[in-house]
Amino acid sequence: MNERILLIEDDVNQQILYEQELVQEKYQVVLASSAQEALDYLKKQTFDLIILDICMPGKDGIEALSEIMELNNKIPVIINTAYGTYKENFLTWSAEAYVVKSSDLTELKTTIRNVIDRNKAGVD
Amino acid sequence: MTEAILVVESNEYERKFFHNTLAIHGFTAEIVPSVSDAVEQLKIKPFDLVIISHFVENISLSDSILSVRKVCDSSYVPIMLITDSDSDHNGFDHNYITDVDDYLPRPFSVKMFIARIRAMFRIAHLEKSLSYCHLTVEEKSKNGEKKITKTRSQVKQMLVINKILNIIAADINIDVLFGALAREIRKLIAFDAISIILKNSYQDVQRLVLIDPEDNSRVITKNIYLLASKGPGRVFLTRQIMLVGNVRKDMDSQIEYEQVLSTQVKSVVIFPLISKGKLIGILNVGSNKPKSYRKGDIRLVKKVLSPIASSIENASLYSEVKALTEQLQQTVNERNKEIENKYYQLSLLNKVGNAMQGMHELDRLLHLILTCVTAGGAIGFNRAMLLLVNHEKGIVKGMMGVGPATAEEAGRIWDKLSKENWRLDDFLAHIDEYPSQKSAVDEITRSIRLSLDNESDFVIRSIMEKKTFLINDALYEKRVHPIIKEKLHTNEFVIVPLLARDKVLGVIIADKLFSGKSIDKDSIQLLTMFANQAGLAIERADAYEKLTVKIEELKEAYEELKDTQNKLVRSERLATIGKMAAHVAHEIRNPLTTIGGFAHAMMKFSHDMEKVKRNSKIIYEEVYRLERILQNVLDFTKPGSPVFELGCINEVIDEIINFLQDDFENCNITLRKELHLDIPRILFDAQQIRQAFINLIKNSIYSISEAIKCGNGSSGNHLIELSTTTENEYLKIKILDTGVGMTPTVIENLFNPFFTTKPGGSGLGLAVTHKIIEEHGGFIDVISKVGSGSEFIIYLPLRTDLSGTP
Ligand SMILES: Nc1ncnc2c1ncn2[C@@H]1O[C@H](COP(=O)(O)OP(=O)(O)OP(=O)(O)O)[C@@H](O)[C@H]1O
Ligand SMILES: [Mg+2]
Repeated sequence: MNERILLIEDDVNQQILYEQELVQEKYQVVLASSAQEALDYLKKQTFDLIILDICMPGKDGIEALSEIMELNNKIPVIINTAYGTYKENFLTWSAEAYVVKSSDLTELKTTIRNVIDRNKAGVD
Repeated sequence: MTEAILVVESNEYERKFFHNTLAIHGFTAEIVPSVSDAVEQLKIKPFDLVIISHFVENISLSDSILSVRKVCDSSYVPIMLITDSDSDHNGFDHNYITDVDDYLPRPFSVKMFIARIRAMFRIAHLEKSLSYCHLTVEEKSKNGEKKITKTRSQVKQMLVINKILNIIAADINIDVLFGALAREIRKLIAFDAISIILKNSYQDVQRLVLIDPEDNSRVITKNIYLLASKGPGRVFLTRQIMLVGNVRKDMDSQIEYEQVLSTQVKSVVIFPLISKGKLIGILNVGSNKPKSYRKGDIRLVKKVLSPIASSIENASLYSEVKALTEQLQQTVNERNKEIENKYYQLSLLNKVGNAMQGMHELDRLLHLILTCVTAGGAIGFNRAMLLLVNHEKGIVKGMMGVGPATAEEAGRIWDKLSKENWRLDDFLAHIDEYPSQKSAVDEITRSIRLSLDNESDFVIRSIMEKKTFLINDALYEKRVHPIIKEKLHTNEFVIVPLLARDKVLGVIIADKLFSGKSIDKDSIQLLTMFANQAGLAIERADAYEKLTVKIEELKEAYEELKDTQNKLVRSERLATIGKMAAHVAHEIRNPLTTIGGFAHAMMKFSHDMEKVKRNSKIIYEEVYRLERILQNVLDFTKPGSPVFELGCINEVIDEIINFLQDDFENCNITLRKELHLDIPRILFDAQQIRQAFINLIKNSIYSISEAIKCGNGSSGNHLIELSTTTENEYLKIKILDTGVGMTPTVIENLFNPFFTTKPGGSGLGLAVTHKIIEEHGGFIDVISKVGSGSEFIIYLPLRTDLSGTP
């Protein structure tokens, strides 16, 4: 059974890149271009992981995170952003991990795997 | 028995009035129109009373009275005079009072008229019955002749006293009074000359009042000196009646007698005039025959001395009071004049004070002060010098001098002043036209330096003791500065300290060398008052000057502050750049992620052509985006200011339209161009303006594309309008779109760097536009409504001259 990942990212080209890479890793990827779109998905479906961009037009990632937690705090969230500066205090946002965007997606992929596995273990 | 009355009246109606009135009251009346008729009547029959009323004749009133008297000389007929109401004012001669027995001023009531007639008849009746008594007594006792005479003379005395008392009642002056008294006295004693000498309570001269022996109607008054040891003067001491049988025998005093009576007198009687126990003077009666006075005559007069004395005292008191009043009035007038003068000076001082208050430049103020001291009219000094204290250096320094250096110069100035009749007022009005001329006195004054240690010098003393000094013998005075003595040649001058509250600022030295007047108390007082005002004004001006310096300092401080602020702005710029670096890092990281990611993917696996094509397209797009970001950042941080050149905005806009042609077509946007052909060429940097407008128009295109995406109106319904016009001093460029519009929050942040609502937007577009327009001296207006579109209006100054560019 493929794990379902909700990718919240406004940049179309990045959506394409991430989708292409994650599908190759056998994940099922659902794309959301804005925080609002993501929340709509979360009301109907369940996911194994959420990848969240911070800098988005409209509701930004930080706002989105607290709403996501209100809706379903069981799903782990990985923050993936171009800003390196938020890394130190990401814990207060109750995200599982913080990955700075990079053209090398290895770190992201490793983190996804770890978070999903850890979460599964914790739940069981 | 009915009394007969004769009336002289020229007016016919009045005659009828008298006739009827007198008849009704039971008198026998004869009314005649003229004095001559009256004389005729008097010759024919006896009358008990003559009333002289109105008459029109060529003879004077006194002559008429006289002619009437003459006719009835044998038997005394009383005369009543009816005077016109205004005769009192129009020179009615008080002498008549004694010639007539009664007078009645018009208008009078019938009642009063009759009462007065009856009173007169009662007196006449009394007189008659008295003389009748004498006659009977005379007849009855041949031996009682003496007694009868005595009684008769007593009656005479009574009548005279009565008259005198009447005279006293009238408040007439002493000349008139004495004339009347003399006539009465003549009834008691015969004389050729009569006079009184009045004691003067204030001076040792006495006043002589003499009936002119040549002309009895004339009264002579003069001041004389009487020796207490000789002639009449003795009575002042003895207070006893003095009888001199023959003046010629009293050789020593002959001149005295002649002086007080006449050169003809031989025998003299002198009576002391005592009123309320006080000797007020003496009465002198003289005859041209020796030994003409006997004890009996003297006794007769003695009886009336007391009333005469009191009447004279009354009159002299009256004239004394009158004289005093006059004197008082004169003093009051003089005082008034003096006060007026003082007032004028004070009001001038006040004016000067006001003028001084308004003057802030110390030099002009000092000149005004000295001019006022020397200008004619007010304080009236000839020359004035102003010395100020410099406490820091411990000296007193001459600041300014005004006035002529020589008598010749003084004459010239006075000539001019007196010709133009200038007073201080005029000086005040023209003070600005009278520039402080470089005069010798000024130069001399400026050369004066005095050490504050020189404690004996009068200037220093004036400063130390805050006292005014009047130096009288300056030329021989060691304690006067040699320059003042030798160069100004002034022997008398005044030094007045210039006080400002309790501080001494300096002194004013002033003299009156050329007018030759000495410096009096008044002018010193005025100068002192003036100096006080001047001191305050100087202090104020000084404070003002200091204030000006303070303001200057503040200005400098302000300039410095502005400088620092500019530096701060620059450092803020740096801070912004720092902030920007973070943003740029973020902005760049995004496309780099994508580019790197795809390149990586392409490297790792072999792909079908389709995928490679897509990936490389994305890479290309992202690199383009990176370039754009780089451009925007460079635009925004570029320190260079615009390069201005004259050009036409319309051309720039046409160029942009060309450049963006594809974008318009892609979104199917209608372009409406309203470029005014006659807009002036203005100065601008074409490169920058082009960039500014592209940023704006691109936003509009994006906004319309968003609107189409949201299904808000089908494509083809949207338009962008570009128009140029002039408004006032500005060229106005409008860019309107029918896109999504903006919320107030967006409008508020529109021009902030990095503010964006677009995915992949840098938020620098409008920040750059804003910066460019500002650097051109223009500004941007924004009107927008969510759902209907936005309007950006750019104002650029109509500038064609490089000198005005920022
Ligand atoms: N014509 C317009 N209609 C609606 N919104 C506009 C318009 N122009 C600007 N905006 C709003 O202002 C924001 C700032 O514009 P700006 O040009 O400064 O940056 P950007 O367009 O977002 O980014 P960039 O210009 O770098 O692509 C835009 O994101 C947009 O929300
Ligand atoms: Mg833009």
